[in-house]
Formats: sequence, structure tokens, C-alpha cells
Amino acid sequence: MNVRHVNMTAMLSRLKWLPLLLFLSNGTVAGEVYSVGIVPQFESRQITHIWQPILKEVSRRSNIQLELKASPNMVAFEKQLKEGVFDFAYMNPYQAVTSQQMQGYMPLLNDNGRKLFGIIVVKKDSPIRSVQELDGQQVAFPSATALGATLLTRAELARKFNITLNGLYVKSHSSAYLNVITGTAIAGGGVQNTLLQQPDAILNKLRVLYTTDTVPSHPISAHPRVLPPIQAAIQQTFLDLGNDKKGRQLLANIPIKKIGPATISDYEPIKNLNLETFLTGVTSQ
Amino acid sequence: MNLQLKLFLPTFLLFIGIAAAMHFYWLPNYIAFEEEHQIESEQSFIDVLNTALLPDLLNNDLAKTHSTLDKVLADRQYWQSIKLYDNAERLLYPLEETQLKSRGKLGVMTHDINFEDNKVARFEIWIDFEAAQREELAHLYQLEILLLSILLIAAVLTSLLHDRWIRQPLKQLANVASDIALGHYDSKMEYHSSDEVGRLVAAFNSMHQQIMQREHDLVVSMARNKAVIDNAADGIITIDIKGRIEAFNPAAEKIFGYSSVEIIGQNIKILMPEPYQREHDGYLYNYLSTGVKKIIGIGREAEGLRKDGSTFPLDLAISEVQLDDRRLFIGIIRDITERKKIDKMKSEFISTVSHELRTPLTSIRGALGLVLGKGAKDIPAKLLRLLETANRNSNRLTFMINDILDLEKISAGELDLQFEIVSLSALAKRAIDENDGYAHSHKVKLKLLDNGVENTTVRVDQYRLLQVFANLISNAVKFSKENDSVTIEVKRIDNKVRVSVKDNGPGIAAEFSSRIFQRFAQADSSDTREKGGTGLGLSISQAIINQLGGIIDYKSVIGEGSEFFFELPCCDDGNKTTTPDENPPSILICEDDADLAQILAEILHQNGYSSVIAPNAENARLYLQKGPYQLLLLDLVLPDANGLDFIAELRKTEDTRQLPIIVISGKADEASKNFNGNAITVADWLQKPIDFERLSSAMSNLIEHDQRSRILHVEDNLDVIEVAQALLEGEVNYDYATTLSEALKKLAEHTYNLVIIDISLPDGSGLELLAHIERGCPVVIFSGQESSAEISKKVDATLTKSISSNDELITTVKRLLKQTN
Repeated sequence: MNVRHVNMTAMLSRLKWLPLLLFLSNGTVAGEVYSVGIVPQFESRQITHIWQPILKEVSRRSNIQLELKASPNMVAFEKQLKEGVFDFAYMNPYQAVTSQQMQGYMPLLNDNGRKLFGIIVVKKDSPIRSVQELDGQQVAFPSATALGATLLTRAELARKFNITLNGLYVKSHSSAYLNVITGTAIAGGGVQNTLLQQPDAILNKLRVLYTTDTVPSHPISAHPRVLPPIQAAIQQTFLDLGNDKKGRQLLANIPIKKIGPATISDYEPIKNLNLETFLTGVTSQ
Repeated sequence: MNLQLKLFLPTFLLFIGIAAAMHFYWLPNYIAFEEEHQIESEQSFIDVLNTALLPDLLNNDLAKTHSTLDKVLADRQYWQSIKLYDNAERLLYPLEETQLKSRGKLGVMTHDINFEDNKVARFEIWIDFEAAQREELAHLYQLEILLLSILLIAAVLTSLLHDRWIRQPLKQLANVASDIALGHYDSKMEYHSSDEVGRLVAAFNSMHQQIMQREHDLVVSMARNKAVIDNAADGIITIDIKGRIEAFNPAAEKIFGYSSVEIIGQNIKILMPEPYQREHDGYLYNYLSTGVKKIIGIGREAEGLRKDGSTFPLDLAISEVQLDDRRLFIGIIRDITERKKIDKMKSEFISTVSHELRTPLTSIRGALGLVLGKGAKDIPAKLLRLLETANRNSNRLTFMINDILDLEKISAGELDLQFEIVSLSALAKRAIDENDGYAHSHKVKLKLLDNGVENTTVRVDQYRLLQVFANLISNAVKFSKENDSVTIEVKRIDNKVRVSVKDNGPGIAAEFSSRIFQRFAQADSSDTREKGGTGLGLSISQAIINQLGGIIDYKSVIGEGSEFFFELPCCDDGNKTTTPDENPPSILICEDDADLAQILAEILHQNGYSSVIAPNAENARLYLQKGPYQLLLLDLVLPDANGLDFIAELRKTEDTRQLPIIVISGKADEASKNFNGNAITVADWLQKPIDFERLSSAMSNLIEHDQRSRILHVEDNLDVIEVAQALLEGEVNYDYATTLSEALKKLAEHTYNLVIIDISLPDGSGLELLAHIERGCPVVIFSGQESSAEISKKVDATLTKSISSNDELITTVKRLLKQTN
């Protein structure tokens, strides 16, 4: 029985490759579907709304089938990254470093036109004028692990001013800003990109109190199991998107201003920020 | 309202009904229900929202909370605003206080969001209930419009199908029916279906076929009838009740010389010579008003008038037909000119031949009479028998020739009667004497029964009446057995006398009764040779009796015998010996129904009136000529005349102008209406069956009011009185005195209109009375001696007995009475 089972499996494996060969002979690799994970910076609906058209376009152009693999929250996303669930993933710079260390994800692309930095916002009419006044106060952050909004800001304030913030984790950047406006938190952590994406009603009620040092922007990385030609094809297709108007519009939604190639060396400096200190705290929580 | 509308209307009304029910009943009810449940429904939604928001609020995920609430507000337009406060009453949503948009009825619902008994947040929801309803209503109205649209489409579809399946075929059918009604029989309808309309069309087509077939049959039938009428040898003319000619067939054209084109529409009178032309309207009027038929249904001979003015005899048969509501008369006319010519030639031939035969026959009879009379004893017995046979047959031949000549005379209307008043009893005796030899030769005895009628007189032609006796007696003898007897009875019945001749022979079969009085009629054709006779006797007898104003008839029972009888009016007062004053008025009954006449006579008799019966107008005329009657009871339907015509005739005659008449008729009521203008000429109309009380009262009224002249006759000779009384009775109220003193007494007691005086009276001269007679009262001297000129001057008239006739006396009396009146 066992022998026979093995034989059948082998036979089935051969058969499984048959359509792929056929597709390759046509100059396509449509047979395999590659999963794409997206860091849950926004609500999952918004993420789908932004990324679905991009993946569709890239699939069309590259003949490589890409599939959006949703993650309900940051914890789940990071767990999936850690397990190497995604073939490709768009992640924050810190995750780029950790995923490379754990699964060997290699950055392929990022926004060459923008660097990532964290910001601290307060209400426009807030009496607070310096970050020092925030020491010990409750500040809203999207999540404990959010790179720009939480880790960069907390790490830099601690490093430079020795300030400790009482974090209120409110699930998303937008939520963090709203908590500031409603007065639930005295200040909120975020990043420039997400702040600028807020409607005027929110934007006009906030004031940026502090800006951190920059890090390279979010990369799109590939799992090492993805064959290099595929990785290259994907990288090239994305780069091509940056060359035409339609592509640029799609990328602007991510938001990526100017897409360009990325390498793991771009992200080396992040390792020196001691972000783990804050993560450990979170993890221990 | 046409069918289309009728078919559409129920569907339309149903649609309106449903729409109205939906709009005015269901919808308001539904809205009320919805309003009632709205708050409940909002509350349950808020509960759902509570559940949705709780995790986000616990996570401080305001972005998601905002997103959820934004979506809720976008979905529920009538939710004007949601305000969300945290447990510290900080406004979490919206970011700013907003102005409420609606001016409508706003309601606020607040709700606390709790987690494990701790308040997490609080809602404040501003709801525009009106808007909510508006929205709901908009949905409902949309639903209503949708349903009504579906209904409307269904209604229109139903109407279209009705139109196609029902109305269109019916319309087509109606058009075809109209065409057919207008006579376009080729119009036809093609429609095949098994539904009711299809069956209707099939039935209609079948009826159409039948109509066509019937019309065809009718045309053929009419053509056939027309061919019959056109080719009939007799003229056929149709007239309406006004006498206008409606149809005139070719034979009629040929007979009268008119073409149908010129004659149709003219009055039928144009085809009649006078007096028919003048009288025709009257005939038609009488028939239409009384229903008494004179010609209709009875054939008769008449005279026709051709276009060229010539007249000709014709046979006319008229029948009446009722076509729809119209009465038409159809006359069938046969020109009998040729037949008449032949008849006349035949009559002349018979007459000539008979006369020519008579002369040699007279010689033969004379010679035979001489031989048998004088030389009989010298003739051998054998030869004598032969001679007697010859004599007997020559006698028979003589009778036959006489009979034939008599008949010819009668049919030519040339029978000349010599009337005289004779005793019927005496005449009967003479007839028996004359026929006794014949009876004896047949060994039959003749018996006479004439008790009490010795004085009964009749006004007849003796010779002709004896001929009737002879015919009846010889017939009776012929059919009697040997040694049997024939009874001749003379019997008085009121003012008539009946003579019957009765035998005990074989009798006459009923089927022969209608022909018994016809010429050459014998019950058994073998009778002629067996019994002898010409077969003309009864026919001649009937003609004679009718001309004498009587009737003749018979009664017979097979195996028991026959009784032939005739009745004649008496011209005396029988054996009654009543005084003139006590004598009740005399009444004439003119009635053809013998039984009714007898009943009337009996009733009159019980009431103290004497009466005579006339079975027909002719007879009545004879009675009226003979004497005046106080009253005439007249049946309108008489065998020989129309009662109304008869009344008119009586009114034209001087003697009967004032005669009171009571009409008795089955049609009295109807006739009286048509006689309105002349109602005065008829005293009363009595409808059959007769109300005898009314008759009695009508008569007594008439007779009591009788203002007859009263006459006193002064005369000592009772025979003269009896004659005068007989003459004047009926005309006047007759009174008499036999002596001068009696006359004086009566003149003192009574007023007289006229006095007749005999000069020589037992107790003085009648002239003495002149001084006692009232001035102005006419006086007639009726005496055996001739009056002097001096006397004549004093009186109004003088008559001499034995010189002056009865008529003269009556005329004079009447004239004088008339003058004084």
C-alpha cells in the first residue's frame, strides 16, 4: 500500500508540473500564484482598496499571478512574516531587518523619493510646546510595534531626551490622531505619510510637535524561495510602473512617490536604533 | 354603451377598486403600523450598533469607530446626527458639534454602551422620524405604483384579449347580421373556435343557411302560386276591407278587359253594373258591422261590368282571409255568359219540344179516352188491357210534360199565381177526392183529419195548391203498402195552418234529406221505374209553397214512414170569438229558428198577445201586406235577407213606416251600435239568449202607448160588422153599435176618430147621429142604399154596400184618419 501511494504521488507530481511547463513554453509563469502580504498600517478594507489594483496590474504586466494575503492586525502580520507565509511582502523598515534575519526576506524595492520618520502630534490649540512636556503623559500610538509612529519616536525621545511616554495603543494611525483630537490622549505618534493622508477636518486640528531622524522607507521584499527570475521580473515590473502615469498613480496610493530598487544594506542603520528595547517591553506585555 | 366598453368596464372597475383599497385602506394601515414600530426598530438597530462599536471603543480605535458611524449615517439618511461621548463625557464623534439640518420632527434617543457593568460610552442619536417615514413612504409608494402598474397592465391585457376573443368576432357577426338583414345573403362569417362565440357563429351560419333555404323555398312556392293564379281559368281578384283591388290575375284581365296596372287600387265597384255598384258599399259595411254573410262563403250568380261598358253574367265566390292583421276578400269570378246562353237554349228547347209534344199527345189521349169510354165493351179483354196501358202511360207523359213546363216557368219566374181566399179544409177534401182514384188503384186509403179548421181560410192559388196536394198524396200512396192508409191532416197553429201528409212507408234515409227537394231527386234511382213519377214533384211543390208564402218540409223515420207538411199563413182569425176591444194586439214574429219562434209565440200567448210566425223575410212581407201588425219581432239573420236591409225596406214602405220593431239577434248589441243614427226606427234590441222579462216589458210599453185611431161602426147587420172588423182590425181600435140608441150612448161615453154609419137602423135613421158626432171627426156613410147628394155634403165619404169593395172601405178609412191626424 505504501509503495503504491508513493508511486501515485510521484505520478501526480509529474502531472502537477505539466501545466507549468506548458505555460513556460508560452513565456508565462501563470501557473503559480505568489502571495503578497501588506503591513496593516490602515484598515484592511483600505489596504485591499489600495493594493488590489496594483497587484492586478503587476500580474497582468508580468504574467506572474500575485495574490493579496490579508492580515487582520500587526501581530498576525508579524507572525506570518516570521513564519515566511508570504512570497512577497510590503513591510516597515524594522520588519525588513527582522524578516531578513528570520526568513531571509530580501528588500527589492522601496520609495527612493521618501524616507521614513516618526512624528509627534498634538492638538493645534494645545498649550504643549516641547516634547519634554510629554514626559510621563499618555500618548496614543497605532500599536506597540509600529515602526515610524511608535518605535522610532519612543526610541529617539528616550535616547535624546530621556523621556518616557505612557503608550495608548489605538490600532491605527488615524485612530491615534483622532484620540489626540478628542482629547483622550495628549499627543499621538504617527508618520508624515499617514498624517498627510488624513482628511482636512483632522489635519487642520493637529500640529506636528516633533520629527524624528529618517530611515529608508517601507520595502517590498521577497522570500528567498521565490526563484530569482521571478523576483527580478516582479522588481522590474514595479520599476516599470514608475515609468508611466497610470503606474505612478497606483503607486502614489501606497504611498510611494518614486519607486526604486532597494537592498538590505539600505536598512543596516536601523539595527543601531535599539528598537528591540521597546519591542521587548511590548512583547513582555 | 358598446361591447368594448362593457368588456373593459368590469376590469377597469376592478382595477380602480383594488387601487382604491390599496391606496386608501392598506397603505394608511401599513403606515400606521410602521410608525408604531419605528422606535422599536430604531432601538434594535442601536443595540446592533452597540455590539459593533464596543470592541473598537475598548481598543480606543476611534478611526474604526468613526468609520462605522460615518457609514451608519450614510446609510440612515434620516439619522440627522450621532453624538458619541466617552465615560468622561468627551465628544468622541463627530469631531465638532454640527448643526442639525432638518426642521422636521426630530427625536433623540440616548444609549449607554457598557462593558462589564462599566459605562464605556454614550450615544445621542437625533432621528428625523418624518424623514424616516418619508423614506418608508417613498418605498411604499414605489411598491404601490409597481403593483398598480402590474394590475393596469393585466387590465389592459385582459381588455385586449376580450377585444380580440369576444368583441371582434361579435362585431364581425353583427356586421354580417346587418348585411343579411338588408338582404345581402352572400355575406358570410368565417370564424372557427370551440368557445361560446365560435358556437354562436356556427349557429348563426346554420340559421343563415336555413334562411337562405327558406327564402329559396318561398320564392319557388310564390312562383308556383303565381303560376297557378296567373294560369287559372277563373278570374281571381283580391280586395281590402274598403273594397280596393289589391290583386287582379290575367284571367280577370281577360274577363273584364282591364289591365291589372290600371285596375289595382280602384274600388271593386268599377266592375259592377247598377244597382250592384251603388249597393256594394252597403254589403261590405253590413258584413263588416254585423258579420252577417250574404255572399261571402256562398257562391252566387251576379252581373259584371266590362271596361267597354258591356255587362255579363258571372259566378261569384267570395272568401275572406286574414293575413296578419289585415282582412282580405278573395273573389273568384267565372264568366258564365256561354253557360247562360246554353241554359236558355236548353230551356227554350225543352219548352218548345214539350209544347210540340202536347198537341199530338192530346189527340192520343182523346182518342184513347174515346175508345176506352165508348167502345170498351166491344174490345176483347186482352186488347183492352193494352189500350189501358197506353192510356195510363199517355196520362203519365202528360203529367211529366206539365211538370217540366211548370218547372221551366218557375225557374224563369213566370209562374203566374191567381190568389183567392179559400177554405183549406174544403181544398183538402177536394184534393182527396181527386186523388182517391189513384190511391184506390194502389189499394191505399186516404183519411182526412180536419177537426176544428173548417173555417180556416188561406189566400192561395187553388189550382197550384191542389197540385201540391196531388204531389204529396201521390208520393205517399206510391210508398205505402197495400191496404195501408195515408193520413191528410189540416191543423191550425196560431195564425198558420199546417197540412201534413203522412204515410207508413219505408221512410227516407237521412243522407238524402239535403237533396229531397231537388229536381229529379228520388231516394233510390230504381224508384223511378218501380214507383213511376218524374222526380220533379217535390221541387215544384216547394217552389209553389214558397211563392204562396209558406214553408214545406218533411219528417221521416226509416221503417216507420214519412210525413211531408207545408204551412201557410191564415187569413182569418180562426175560431176565436172575441170582441175587437178585448182582442190583444197582433204581433208578427220573423224568426227562422222554428223552435225559438214557437217559444216566442207561446210567451206572447201567455201575455195575452196573438202572434204569427214568418220563417223568412219573404213570408214576413206577405203577412205585412195582408194586414197591419202592432209589432214586429225581427231576427237580424234570416235565410233570405239581412235583417238591417229588411228594416230599411220596411221603413221605405208606407204601411210599415211606423211599425214598431224589436230586433232579436245574436248580434243585437253589435248591430245596434252600427245602427245608431237610425236608432229611432228600432224600438228595442234584444240580445240572444232572450231576456223574456225585458221582451215583455218592451212590448207592453210599445202596445200601451199605442195611439191607434178609435172607430165606431154603427151597423145592424152582424155579418157586415164581422167583415169590417176583419178588414180594419190591426189598423184601428174597432168598436161597433147595432142600434141608434147604443150608438148615441157610445158617442157620449167615448171619443172616436172616425164613425161609420149605416143609415137604416132598427130604431131610427143613422143620419140622426150626425148631430151628436164631434166636429172634426170624419163620418163615412156605409149603407145599402145610395146616399143623396145632400147627405154626401154633410159627411166625408159615402160608400155603397155590394158596390164598394173591401179595399175601397179600408182605403177610405185610412185616408180620412190620415187627414185628421
